[in-house]
Order: sequence, then C-alpha cells, then structure tokens
Amino acid sequence: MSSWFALLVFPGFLYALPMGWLMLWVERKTLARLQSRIGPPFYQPLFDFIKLMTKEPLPRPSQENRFYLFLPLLALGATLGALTLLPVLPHSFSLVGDLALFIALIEIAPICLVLLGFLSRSIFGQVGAVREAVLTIASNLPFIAALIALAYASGSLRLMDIALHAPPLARGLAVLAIFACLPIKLRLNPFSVANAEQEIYQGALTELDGWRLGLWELNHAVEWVALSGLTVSLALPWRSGLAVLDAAIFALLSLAVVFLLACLAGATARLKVGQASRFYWRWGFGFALLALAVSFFPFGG
Amino acid sequence: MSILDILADNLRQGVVTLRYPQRVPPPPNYRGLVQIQSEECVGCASCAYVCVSAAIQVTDQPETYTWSYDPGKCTFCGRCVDACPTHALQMQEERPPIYHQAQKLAVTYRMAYPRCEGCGKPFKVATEILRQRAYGELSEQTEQLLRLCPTCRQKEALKLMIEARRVKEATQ
Amino acid sequence: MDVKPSLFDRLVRYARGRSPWLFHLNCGGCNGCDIEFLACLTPRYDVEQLGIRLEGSPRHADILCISGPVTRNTQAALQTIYAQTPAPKVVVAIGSCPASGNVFADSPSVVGPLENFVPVDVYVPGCPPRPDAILEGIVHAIEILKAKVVRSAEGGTYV
Repeated sequence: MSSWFALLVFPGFLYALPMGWLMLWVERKTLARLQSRIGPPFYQPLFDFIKLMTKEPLPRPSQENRFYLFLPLLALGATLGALTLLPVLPHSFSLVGDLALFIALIEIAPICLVLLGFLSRSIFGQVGAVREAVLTIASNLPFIAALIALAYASGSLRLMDIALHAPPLARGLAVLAIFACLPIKLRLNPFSVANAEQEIYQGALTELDGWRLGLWELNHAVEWVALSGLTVSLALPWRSGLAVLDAAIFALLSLAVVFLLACLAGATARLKVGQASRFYWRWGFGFALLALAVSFFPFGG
Repeated sequence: MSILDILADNLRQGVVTLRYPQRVPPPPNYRGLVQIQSEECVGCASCAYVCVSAAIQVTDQPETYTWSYDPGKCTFCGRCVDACPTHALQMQEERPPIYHQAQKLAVTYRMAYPRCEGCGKPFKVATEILRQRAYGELSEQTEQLLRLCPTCRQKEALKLMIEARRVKEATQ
Repeated sequence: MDVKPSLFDRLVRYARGRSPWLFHLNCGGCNGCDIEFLACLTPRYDVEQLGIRLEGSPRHADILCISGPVTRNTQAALQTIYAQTPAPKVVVAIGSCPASGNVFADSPSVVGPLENFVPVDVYVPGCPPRPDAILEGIVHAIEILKAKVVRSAEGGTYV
C-alpha cells in the first residue's frame, strides 16, 4: 500500500481528523458521565476548532507569529507521519527501521510544546514547558524501554513484524508499559501536570489564542489517534486480512483505549510534578525492565 | 468508599443535569425584586434609611416625593420589607430578569402628598393601617382631624376644645 | 445592511454559538458570586451541555464573566485581561457589584462600576445570582456573541 494512502487516508489525515475529534468527544463525554453530567454535545470538538480558527488573532510580533504557525504544523506533520507508520492493515506501509522513525516522530510534538512554552515568555508558559520537558523524559524511559523489549523479543525493528510476531508474555508486559505512558503523553489527569488548567493556566498553551491554539488542538487530536492506535496495533497479534474489518477493529479498540484513559482521568486527581516523574522512574521503568528481562531471557522458549 | 465505587454509583444513577431551559424553581419566600404598592406608601423613607446599599432612595419635594429603586444596587436582603410600616413593599418570588444596560431595571415612582382638607397644603398623612395600629378604633371626629395638615389640625382641635368647654359651661 | 450571510458566515456563527469558552474574573468581590458561578459547573447545572468550557487563560476565552466591584488593585488586571481576550468577546457582569458597586459603592478603594472600564453586554442581577440565572445570562451572552460581525466588509474588524 502506498505511503501517500497511509499518510493522507488511512490511518493518516482523513481518518485521523474525524477520529481525533471523536476521541476528544468520547474523553469529555466519559468524564462527564462518570460525574453524572450530560457533557458536551457530539460535534463539540469540531465547533471548538472552527471557532478557534475564526477568532480575531491578537497582534503579535511577526517573528513570533512564524513560530506559532510553524511549531504546531511541525508537530502535526510529525504526528501524522508517526500515524502513517502504524501497522494497522496487514499490508500497510512500512519501512525496515520504522520503529526508530516512529519514536523520533512521536517525540517531536512534546518538543514543539516545550518550545512554544518558552517562546511565550509568560511565566506560566515557561513553568509548563519545564514540566513538560521533565515529564517527557520521565515517560520516555519506560516507553522506549518497552519498545526496545518488543523489538528484541520479535527480532525486528519493523513495527509490522513486531505486531505480528512478538511473543505473548513480552508483548503483554510491553503493551501495559506503553499504556501506562499514555496519560502523561496525552497530558491526562493523574499526570496532567504540564497543562494544569487552573494552577498554571494550561502551561505552555497560556499565551496561545485563536488559530494558534486551534492548530495545537488539531495536533492534540491527532496525537490521541496516534498513541491510542500504537497501543492497539501492538496489542493485536493477528490481522484478518480484510482491510475494512481490520480498520474497524482498530478504530473500535482505539476508542476503548480512550474510554479507559478517560476513566483513569476521572478516578484520579492531579499529582505533583515530582510525584509524577518519580512514578515513571520507579514503577514505569521497573515494569519496562521486567519486559526487557522477559524478552532477553524468554522463559520456556 | 473508594473512588471507583463512587464512579460506579454515578454511572448507575445516570445523568442528574437539568437540560438548559429547565431550572430549579426558587424556594418559597425567595427574595427577588422589591415591589412597591404606591397607594400604601406614606413616604416615611424607612426603607431608604435601612437600605445598606442605597438601592432605595426617597427624595422629598414640596408637593411630591419620589421612591426610586435600582435592582443593580440591591443586595436582596429584605430589610426594607421588614422596615416598611404599611406593608407597601413586597419581594417577588421570581428571580430577577437578565438585563443588558446598566440601570435598565431601575424604577422610580413619583407620588403626591395628600392635600389638607382645610387649607389645601400637601402634607404627610398616616394611612389607615397606621391609624388602626396606633389608636385602634377611631371616632368620626378623630378621623376627620387626621385628614388635616398639622397646622389646620391644631386650629381645628382648639376650636373643638373651646366648643366643648362652652357647651359644658352652658349645661352647668 | 441587508446582505445575506454566506454559508461560511453562518457556519462560523453556529460554531461560535456552540463553543463559548468562559474566563472568570473576580474584581474584588466577596466570593459569593464566584461560588454560585462554580455551581454552574456542578453536575446539576453542568454548563458543558452548552459546549462551554472554563478556561484558565483569557486568551482562550470568548466570554468574560466578571464579578465584584472593580477595586483599585484589580483595575489594571481587568483592563489587561480584557485586552488579552481575542475578539469577538462578550462581557457578562455577575451580580450587583459590577453593575453599581453594591454595598461597596463610594468606598475609597472601589473605582467601579465595571462599565467605566470595559463595555458590559449582559448584567445578571442578584446578590449572589442563582446558578440558573448565571446560566441564562451566559445564554444571552452567546446570542450577542453570535450576532457579532464575522468579517466586516471594511476590512476584518470585529465589533
């Protein structure tokens, strides 16, 4: 299957955009239902996006403006690129070392966020950027360790091979470790330290307005699709071979992951930045080490 | 009770939100906008005196007085209603409406003092309620006196007294 | 001025009406209105049913909900925050204080009422107003927000 199809149609832009908005809605709606509220109407993320894009931007120095346009677009492009590499369909686009490329691409968005935070020159933006940087490092430890474990266990750096051939025990542990990294990568509740909306006014996003925020929200929606999609596509050991069926299973399971994440967010309160990073250094890393150990010394195989 | 139990309870309980146009009706004795029945008002200005935020103001002119009320200033404490000796003030049991311009809800009543039946000068009169509270049942004569201004009332009362004494002396 | 709005304009207006984000600012009030305002976020009243989100930054907001008489200390912050809110924006004055100063009027530290500093579109009377009154005030504000010019013919200024 061509790379253009993967980038633009599935699981790329055409799929990721409505799916990302749907995920944002599912997350907010689930949270609302857990709190006995009605929650937002169905088209909410779409309307939010249209409204943000059509607000009158506040005047800013043009150099800054270039960055405000460039950084979210870079993040969006990188996240879309990462999404392209997901091994969803049996014959989907893949490269020999696409695991490394995936890790590199998915990390661009947090880096852009850190840059945006420092660019804003607001104290809240900078605090948010620092927190984001600390937590990105903390969460990447188990995240990358788990991916290395998977790659070693399946003997390939190709995501498709990993998804199809990883041994079950290593796969289970690694997918759990990856799942545990999702709240921090999506900046969800127990670890929403970097974008705490009341303490530091959404951190790095404090100074963004109108289309600048709209572009970032768009990237955030695609991030949801990419990260939940990674978990699902690595967790599923088989593909039916029928493209439509595989895509449907992928979409449904991604939504289930979103639901689980929303439940987690609803059941927990925000940690401190030290607690959050300690959690990942201690438990996340321990878990990933276990996955590494299991893949390096396979039991019974 | 762990948070998961609480969340499960919430899910079981379902949505408790009121969909937008629905709302909780205000409780009985809710204190809404202050309303005046101008025919009961005697212009004593007790309401203006007790009003903590100067939302009610009573100003005095020679022949009339004005009672003005700005809900934008009101704290809805109800002290004016308690203070009103003639029960001319009441509070709506509905919540006040949304408005779009400052002082849009403000009301001003201009009321004329009743005129003296003797000389025609405007004066502050005691209403029926106050009279009953002060004196109970009144004789025809006293009621007539109360409809006069203080000056005329003095004269009239003096006249009546002299008349009474003359009658008394005549009978002796 | 009888120009029929284009499809794009209508879409923008509709989206704007369905996604008003609030910024809440206390200009030196007693906190009573703030507590009633927060009651709007509770499950009973849940403003999110109207697509509303409470934002931490005025730059994300469409509707400024302001309570309190404007005090000397908050006046500068109020003006900064109003300037930082991107157009189109609507100001909702919550409670009696921003309308007139209420019991704080004529105090040496109060420089209000609010309309001396920013144009106010909706007043919600009450001391404090009931949550459903605040909700209704916000709905009035949404109507005003939708009526604001999408793109003016003269060159992109919002009123």
